Amino acid sequence: MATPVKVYGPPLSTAVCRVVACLLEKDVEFQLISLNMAKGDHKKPDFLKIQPFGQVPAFQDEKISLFESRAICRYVCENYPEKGNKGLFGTNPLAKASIDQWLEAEGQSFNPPSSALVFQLALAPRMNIKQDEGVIKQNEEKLAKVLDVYEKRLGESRFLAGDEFSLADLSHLPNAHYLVNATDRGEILTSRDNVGRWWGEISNRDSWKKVVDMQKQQHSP
Amino acid sequence: MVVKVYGSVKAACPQRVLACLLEKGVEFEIVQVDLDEGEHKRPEFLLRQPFGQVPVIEDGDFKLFESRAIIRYYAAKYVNQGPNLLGNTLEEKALVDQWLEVEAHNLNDLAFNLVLQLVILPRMGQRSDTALVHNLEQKLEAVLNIYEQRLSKSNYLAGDSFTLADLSHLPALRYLMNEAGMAHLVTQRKHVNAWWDKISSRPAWKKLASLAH
Repeated sequence: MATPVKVYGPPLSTAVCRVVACLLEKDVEFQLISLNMAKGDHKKPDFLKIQPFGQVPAFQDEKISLFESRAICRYVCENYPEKGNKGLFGTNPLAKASIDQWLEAEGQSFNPPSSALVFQLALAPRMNIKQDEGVIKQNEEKLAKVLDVYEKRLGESRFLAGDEFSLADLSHLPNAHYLVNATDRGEILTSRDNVGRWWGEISNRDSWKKVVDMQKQQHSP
Repeated sequence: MVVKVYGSVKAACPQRVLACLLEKGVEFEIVQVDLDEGEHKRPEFLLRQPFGQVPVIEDGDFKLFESRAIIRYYAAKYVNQGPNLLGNTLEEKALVDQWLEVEAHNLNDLAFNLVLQLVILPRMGQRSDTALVHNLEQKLEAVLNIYEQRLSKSNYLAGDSFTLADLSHLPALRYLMNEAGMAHLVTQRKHVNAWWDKISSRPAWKKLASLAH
């Protein structure tokens, strides 16, 4: 039996969840080694050896040590093509190109404003950091424009890259989940017909439900 | 069939794609999109690229946007033509992806915002924010310190050969070092400087620079 792969980082981290969701979709056994970021675990020398930027997640299997959640997800899909959801990263070059396109759109267009909102609305209060209304407004406007594009796309296509759920949709789950469940701005997603329909489908996947359970188990009030 | 690249030869993201096509010896045609005139925000263009950004490619019926998706596609399609920009094993390819993501998420925004402050705003007759510039520069120094560490152990970012990971850095670093006057960020770091010299001396990049600047 293969050794479980290792993922380093706290289960509440959006980027860590991106990787965990992918491993669950692909049915790849893993061990989650949590880090206490409040205590600065991610800036200690031992961790910096495997992630020199001091960010989470980091990933290790028998062959490689990797960082950057979207790179890790691509590697998991390519290294385990026959396991779990075989089509997660496409089964031909054109399908893969479309998935890469929407994975990049997530990273470049959806992630920045949604991360800023998640930080301001869900995390800052927990950390006793004052919210910045200007930043919130600016990022709400930015995210609304991005979601207008998604609304049109998802009216033409069941999932972002095509007819099947892919890594591109998966990559949106962590931030979208926080927006819908940990802030009062969830309707930015749920009030749009097509985006709302898509969100309902992707967040109901067994793999994502398992990630949410894992987060609940770890969350200490 | 010639690949049509919509964008400006002077803009960083189209340059990422053009550099890749030149490396791989893939014939292309640049279809100018007038960003100053707002052509990229007009309905006809939005049909090609719904976010209103450049580049977007058309290869017969096949269309694709997002420069890093486009370069991954062509590097894979023409893996046996020209230099291999993807690595030879799955592990090497994973490192290429890793450093492509680092460029996209840890370096690009800092570089872009510095160029915005130091080059674009002044051109538009607007004042730049000195405190912001200082802050961005400090953050970029910290990132490049990590690159220095990496490149002291490895000739190129993902290993022994030039790959998409290195290529992806060319446009922004060139703007930073030239128009933005931030060459010291590179030249003061021994290994980053040696790496920059190697990657910016490649014939494909020189060809693109002559087309653009």
